[in-house]
Amino acid sequence: MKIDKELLKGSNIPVILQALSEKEMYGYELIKHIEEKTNGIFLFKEGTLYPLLHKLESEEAVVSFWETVDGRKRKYYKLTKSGQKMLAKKKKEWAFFKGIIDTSLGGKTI
Amino acid sequence: MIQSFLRDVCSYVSNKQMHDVIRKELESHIFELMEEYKENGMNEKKAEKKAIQMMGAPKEIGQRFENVYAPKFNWNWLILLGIVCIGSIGFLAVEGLKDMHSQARLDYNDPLYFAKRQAGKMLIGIIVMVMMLFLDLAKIKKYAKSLYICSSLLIISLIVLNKMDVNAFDSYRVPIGISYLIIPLLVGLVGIFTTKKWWQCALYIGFTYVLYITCVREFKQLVICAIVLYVCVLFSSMSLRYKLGSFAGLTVLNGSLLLIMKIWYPIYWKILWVFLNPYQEPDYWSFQQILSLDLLKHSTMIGKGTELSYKGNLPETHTEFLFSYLSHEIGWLIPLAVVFVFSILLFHTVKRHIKSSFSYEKMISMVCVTLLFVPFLWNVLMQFSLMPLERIPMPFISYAGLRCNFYFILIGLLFNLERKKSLYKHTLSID
Repeated sequence: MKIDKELLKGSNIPVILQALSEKEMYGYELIKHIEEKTNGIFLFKEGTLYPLLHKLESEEAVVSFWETVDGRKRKYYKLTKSGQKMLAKKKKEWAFFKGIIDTSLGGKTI
Repeated sequence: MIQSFLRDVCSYVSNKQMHDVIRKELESHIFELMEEYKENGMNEKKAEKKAIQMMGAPKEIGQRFENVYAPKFNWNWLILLGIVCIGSIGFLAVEGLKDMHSQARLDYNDPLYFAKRQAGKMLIGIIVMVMMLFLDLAKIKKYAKSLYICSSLLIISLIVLNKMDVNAFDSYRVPIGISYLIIPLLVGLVGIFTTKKWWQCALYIGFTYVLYITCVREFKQLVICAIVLYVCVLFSSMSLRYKLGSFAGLTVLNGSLLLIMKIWYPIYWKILWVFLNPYQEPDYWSFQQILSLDLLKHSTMIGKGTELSYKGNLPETHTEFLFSYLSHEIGWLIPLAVVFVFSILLFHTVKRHIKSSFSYEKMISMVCVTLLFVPFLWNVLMQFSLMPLERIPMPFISYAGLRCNFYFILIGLLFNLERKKSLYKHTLSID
């Protein structure tokens, strides 16, 4: 099923944070990881991932470092403590939001 | 093709220093994608084309980066500065006009002399502050050592040129240039702190201390210097053991300095502690503090009006005793509110930078905050006779002199850190 782009917009950040909470990753790896986890529904325009990561970095939710793996330089991102807090907050927000949408659309609340 | 895509993205990012970081990262992503496509049997050209297509529109990416790296501004500080500027000019104008025997009228034949001077100095200060916004502190860090050496040489040459009597504690003789050179000196010191080994840092602290003692023979400057050095050590990236060691070393130095003062300058030592009981020597050393206390005691919440000004023998309004004057004339509520707001702003600045993972950014901001807050606090407490009486003006306002610019430089540096925070995160982490 194809999902409206607008709907995906707000959920970018929690999805990225969740992925990085599992392990530190570089951009390409992160996209592949998210694609896999979300059954390909969550297709980023690959280039737009980086401004998001940089924004998270400026908010100190993630830190980055360059590392050379197999002769290739890659910039890894790692979740910080305040990033973990942010993720927990986003999850809460999401659960609340989901509940409200479910009720308003007449479905069962979980 | 890849290069033109990257150029396109970067053309939307106004901050040129970020271009390199962005370019490297996107390029590496494109290469990963191409690798994947080539493994799936595509030829080089097709893979390149598809990879770039997958990246998305350069305009959109560039604009999103621009949103992250566009310099930000701290409006709270700016609004407070605006209020201080306009308020102080207005206050000095009123004071000048109403007092028939003011220094402005008698010495300069112009009741608005101090108000005008304040306006001029504030204007220069704001220009200086804006100039500070364009500094690249990450680049300065690379030249920290040269900066430190140059400023200390300049301080020494200023002392030699002024032929200062180094045996007297005399605030009148310290050339104003030295106060200014302290900023590059400390910025250099902070840079050295973040790059050198602990024992080199200790050497530099020791040298700074000796430089201060031999060149700046003012008690208040020495106290401020000592506090700044403590702050430097506290927020440096040294391990706890070396921090404690440095603290102990600094404390021994400070203690022995106080001891020297007590033995060789007994009169100064006595004057220093007079504030603890100002009524002990009411006619001589502490009469100003007694007058100031009187003013504060007689002040009410909304003030007694500028007409009923009670001045006695206190120095003029444009000097150190601004807080007591204001409390008496417009009530203690407004000056207290300003003190409160200023403290909150400083507290927030500390809170924002203390989390930073770069000790360079952390230390510079803490040094600036210390240099702003200590004179401010001292000035206010002095009027309550809670600190020794020193020629220590209220930042931004008192004397409307060159000192004013000193504080504008500090605020400018703090603004700079705030504005380019996301940028420094990259340029500082490259080292």
